Amino acid sequence: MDKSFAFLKTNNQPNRILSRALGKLLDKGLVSAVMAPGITNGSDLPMPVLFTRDEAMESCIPLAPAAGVSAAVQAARIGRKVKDKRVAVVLKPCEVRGVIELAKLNQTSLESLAIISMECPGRMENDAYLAKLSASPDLPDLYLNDSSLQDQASSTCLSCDAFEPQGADITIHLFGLPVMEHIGISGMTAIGNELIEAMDLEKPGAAYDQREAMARLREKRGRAKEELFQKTGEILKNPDQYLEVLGNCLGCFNCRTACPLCYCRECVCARESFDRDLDDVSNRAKKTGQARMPAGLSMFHMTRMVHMSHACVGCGQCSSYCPSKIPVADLFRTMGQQVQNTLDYSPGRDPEEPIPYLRFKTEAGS
Amino acid sequence: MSKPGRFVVAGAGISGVRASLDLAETGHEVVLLDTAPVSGGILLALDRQFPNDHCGMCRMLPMLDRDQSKYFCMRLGMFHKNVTFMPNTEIKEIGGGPGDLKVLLQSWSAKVDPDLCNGCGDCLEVCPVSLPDDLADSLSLRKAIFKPGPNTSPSTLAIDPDSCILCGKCKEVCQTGAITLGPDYEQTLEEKVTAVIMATGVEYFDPGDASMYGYGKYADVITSLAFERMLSSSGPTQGRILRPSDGAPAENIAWIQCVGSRNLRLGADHCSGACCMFALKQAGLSMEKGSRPTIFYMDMRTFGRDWQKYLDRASSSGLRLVRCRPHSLEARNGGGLMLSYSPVPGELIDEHFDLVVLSVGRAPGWKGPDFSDQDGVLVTGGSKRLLDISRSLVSASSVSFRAAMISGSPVQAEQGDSITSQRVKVKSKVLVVGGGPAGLSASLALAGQGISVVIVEKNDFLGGNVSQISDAEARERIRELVRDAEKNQDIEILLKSRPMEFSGTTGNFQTHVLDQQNKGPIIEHGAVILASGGSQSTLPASLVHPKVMTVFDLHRRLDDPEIKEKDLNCLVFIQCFETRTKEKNYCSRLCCPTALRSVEKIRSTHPESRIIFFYRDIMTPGDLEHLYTRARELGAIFIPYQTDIPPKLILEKEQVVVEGFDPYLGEEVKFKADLVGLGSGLGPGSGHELAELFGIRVDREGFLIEADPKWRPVDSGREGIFICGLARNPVSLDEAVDEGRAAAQRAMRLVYNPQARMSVSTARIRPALCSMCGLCWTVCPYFARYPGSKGAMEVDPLACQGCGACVAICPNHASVLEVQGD
Amino acid sequence: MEQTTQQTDLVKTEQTDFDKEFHPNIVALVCNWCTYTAADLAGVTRLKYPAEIRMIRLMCTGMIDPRFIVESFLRGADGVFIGGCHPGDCHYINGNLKARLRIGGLKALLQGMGIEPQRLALHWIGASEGTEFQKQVKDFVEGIRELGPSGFGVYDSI
Ligand code: SF4
Ligand code: SF4
Ligand code: SF4
Ligand code: FES
Repeated sequence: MDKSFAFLKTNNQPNRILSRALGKLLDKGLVSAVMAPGITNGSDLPMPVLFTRDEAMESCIPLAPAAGVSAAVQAARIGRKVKDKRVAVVLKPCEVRGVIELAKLNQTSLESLAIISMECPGRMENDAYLAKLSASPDLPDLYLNDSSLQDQASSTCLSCDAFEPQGADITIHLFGLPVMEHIGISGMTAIGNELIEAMDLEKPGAAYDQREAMARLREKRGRAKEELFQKTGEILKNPDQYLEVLGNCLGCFNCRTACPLCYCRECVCARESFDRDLDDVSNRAKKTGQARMPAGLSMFHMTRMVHMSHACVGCGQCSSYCPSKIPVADLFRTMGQQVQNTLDYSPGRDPEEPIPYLRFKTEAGS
Repeated sequence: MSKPGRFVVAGAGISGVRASLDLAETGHEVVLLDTAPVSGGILLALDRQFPNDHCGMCRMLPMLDRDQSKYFCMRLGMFHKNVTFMPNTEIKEIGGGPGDLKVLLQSWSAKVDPDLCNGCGDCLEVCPVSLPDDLADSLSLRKAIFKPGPNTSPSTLAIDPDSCILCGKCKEVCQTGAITLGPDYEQTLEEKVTAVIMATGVEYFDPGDASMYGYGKYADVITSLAFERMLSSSGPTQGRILRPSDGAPAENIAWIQCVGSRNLRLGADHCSGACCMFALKQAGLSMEKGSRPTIFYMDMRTFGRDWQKYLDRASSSGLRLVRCRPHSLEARNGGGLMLSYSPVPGELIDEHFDLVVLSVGRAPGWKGPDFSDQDGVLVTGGSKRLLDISRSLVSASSVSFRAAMISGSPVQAEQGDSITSQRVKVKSKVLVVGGGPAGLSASLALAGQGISVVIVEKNDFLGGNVSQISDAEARERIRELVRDAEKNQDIEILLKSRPMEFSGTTGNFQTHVLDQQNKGPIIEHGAVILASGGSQSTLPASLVHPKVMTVFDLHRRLDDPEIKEKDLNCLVFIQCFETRTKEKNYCSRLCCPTALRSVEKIRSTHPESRIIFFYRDIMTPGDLEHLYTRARELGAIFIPYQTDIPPKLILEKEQVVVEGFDPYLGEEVKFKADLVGLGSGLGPGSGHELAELFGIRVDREGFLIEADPKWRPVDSGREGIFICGLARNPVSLDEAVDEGRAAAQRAMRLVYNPQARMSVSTARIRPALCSMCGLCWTVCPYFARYPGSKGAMEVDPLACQGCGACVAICPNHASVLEVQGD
Repeated sequence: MEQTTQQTDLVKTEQTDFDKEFHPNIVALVCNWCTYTAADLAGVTRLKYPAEIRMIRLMCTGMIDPRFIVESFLRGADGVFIGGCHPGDCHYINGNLKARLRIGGLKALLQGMGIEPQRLALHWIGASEGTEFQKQVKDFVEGIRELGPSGFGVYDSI
């Protein structure tokens, strides 16, 4: 499949211009809806918004440096329901990975989705974003062009080196480009190319070499990731540190609500492991004279790790949701990497790649 | 429907166990007896079996209504509610007629009370009598009091009355008082039964009798049965391969095939049919343990569907094969043996081996078990000749069905169930796809038990390839099956039809059958038997020539008056023509016997013509060996060839020339042939399509694959779908008929009771929790799960075996294993 | 033999120096078919194996929910030993292969939590391999004895 590459002139307003380009897809009837970050009445926090008319696209912020929730879950809902129509969904790379994993779990279908993703400069935590936005209303655009702003991204994003989308139909190129003049757009699949065609883009004059910018960023974030995994690895292995970090867990389940991959209708921990039997707690109390309630929080987190660590896409939403500011995502990503390496699995890499625990089918002897 | 029948099954090896379970699972009562103190027969000595080097014996346990039997490794014994096992028992007399036999049984006491003996083994140390252990075929010794099987449970010991000298030492040391000595304690008992099944197995050849290859004289010459124990962790060497003479590790091992078989001097004009595979397995396992095996053979009889592939795997992992029968063997100084053999005329080789294994099989002159000729006594195939596991079981099921037909089918009594289990309604109707011999035999068997059958046949006639069949007698047998089916009221026949849509759960399937106008009924049935058959391979266009044809066509053509009168100076057969290699890597079973039968026909009209066979391995297992012997007597010449240099066929307008290499002469040979018969084999018909429609497995060549190649030969991987005949593997007519009946037996378990009982431990879904992720669907090994209509998975209750794979993978515990009672 | 044969039947005590040593807490999960039969064989042939193990019989290793193992460690197990049929021998066709994959993932996870990989063992032990069963269990228990207590129970204080 040939990749097509084109420029989109941005006139200092990359978000607005890109929104309009997406609006053309609606206008020309190539997609029946666009789901992209946007703001609706009542809040300045970018949330997934379903646009069905191009004039409404004015409130779309496709490259918003914040995400109130993971759009993966919403995109998956669309993919699951919509048949025989196409919906464009604008997702961050981690969200694309999330949708792909959910497709493997039969929670969605990729058939009707046209996935648009970008080289991701990262998202800010919600409160930091809102605080900054009130002082600087152009933040979503400025952010794209200002590395000191990008350094204020969430700790997950600052240590994420998987910022290039995989599995998208269209990729928006930002790194190493003068984004206030133009950004790049490539079609990665036949559908992507078809949609790009409709956006009326400019064919590139001179090619931009993004390699250096990308390598620099990969190096920087990669190093941050290694450091973080190193540090977090120690926390996990060391009961004192572990208890110090996770001791603040309230058992609110926000992390699992946030996680795009926790697809169970009702978390097993909410029923079975969490909040141990009172006898159990009092037995424990007998030994040392005290026992914390609710109990079973380690079991809760470890259960989630058992179920999801092979699939953690590293979106960081669990950390963002945590009222106790526990770096849940650091713990999950660190564990995720270890488990994924062992199982030779990379979540979201390829919709055809089976979940590692289903690979017994291809093994000898079966 | 009638009352449950009562049967005696003599012999508790795998055939006897299979037959007993078949009857027990279809509501009959069985008295299973064995002269040994434990059940299991020869399999107790075999840890791993070909053609997959695994065990899996437990897979023959009931899968429906599992709670009627105990659920553990069958090396510990077999228990079913409807089966009474009588150890140390034999049949003395049988009187009466079928349906009403009087069987006189005699039991003797093992002198050890199973309730008291705890298997401590103190007695073993004090017993003064030592004798060769039967189980290890004399490789090791045992005492007069002994442990009858490696694993048997309860862990009771037994006293062998023939060797016990009644010294009483064991009794003194026994702390639980389990031992009662005294005069032999015998008991006779009369059983009134419907029929008797003899499943006592065959007698093995004892190479000591003919003092072959120094057996009995040299300790390092052992039988294949003894070697089996050497491979076992529970055997006398704990799984190490050692020279019995000095206990040194045995590195170079030779297998000598056909010891006591295919030997006219011993009066053994038979092939034992399983020893080649047995040796291949042993050699393969010995390689895992670091030995270097060599097999000396005459023909590698890899005639089962996957056996050629098994041989290929063994050879590619370093097994050495030498085609010749070694002529002598001597002890060598410093241990081991010197084997002399001559692979080609004039060349004599002496080679050193640490251990020589004699592949023994059926004893020459074996006439079958006692009482074989009596009316109402049925004999399993495995008691007439040596059979591999799957054939033994197919035959046992076929025989058990014939026995059951004498009494009719009972419906399980509703009352008196110890467990109040849930029931599933099943349809008492069976769909049979294919109206060839296997399908007809299955249909007639079921209809004979009052089950209604629908046969779907793609042709406008029944009988399958009957017209292609070269043997006149076989053709007549098939025609008879057709006639019987056509007049049977319980059999509905849909010609020119095919199954198109298939759905439902075990016991409640729906199949839409369409005719050529794409119209037809939706049939509701409890089970389906796929017997879609196959046909002989057609020759490629490049070989079209009036003088070249398949061996099957040639055999038929020999009856043509025109051919009979023609001058035939030379006929050439090329066996394994593009089969047992590449795309068709299996033996078709029928080409060799057909070609060999042709020899006799040719001789009757053309006593002088030359008959040449190019062959790789002549496949005449069992008593078919006689055909091979006869063909040589009649002067046919046999020239072996290697796959990489097959004989060449040169087709010219008027004549056909066959060129090849004769290793015995050491030179190229050339024949101008008047007729050429090609053993180009058989192939399955619509395997791939059926597999897709019914959701079962199919192999590359298009044969439907059974759930287990040994233990569940006619089951597909899905409960309620059974496979048999040529659709599954190349078979002879007898085997096709047996497989059909065996498949019918398996279907019968499911449909004989319209209120099938669910097993207590079955997976359930908590629908409100299920997210339909489908993980369980993928992991379920029995296809027991399916997406239900209400947004949650559902479980096919009769298919689920309670393995718990779904429970372990469901992150949400939406899948649970519910164990009622217990 | 009753299907409900108690696990305790199988546990034979090694009496030597019993009280001086560290007695690890060990859970052995064995499948009903092959490994249990091997354990039974070891028992009846009077092959002694350490008393520390608490044997739990499951129908198949493929039914082991890794959460159960995590929970065992959280509740103070020093080692978990799993025994199943050889590949190809599983009564349920391929439960053991499923187990192998999940135990592989779980091992990485536990290792990430500071549990030495030797504390979780998965072995294939066939029905006739009583000696193998004894050897593997013995080696396992010895290994755990050397490692000392897992200390993982601390994690369970929240
Ligand atoms: S565990 Fe956390 S970081 Fe990983 S996918 Fe779930 S929410 Fe995102
Ligand atoms: S694994 Fe659990 S949630 Fe998924 S489909 Fe099966 S029962 Fe439902
Ligand atoms: S996976 Fe579940 S549904 Fe399938 S056989 Fe095993 S227990 Fe039954
Ligand atoms: S039954 Fe033993 S591992 Fe599955």
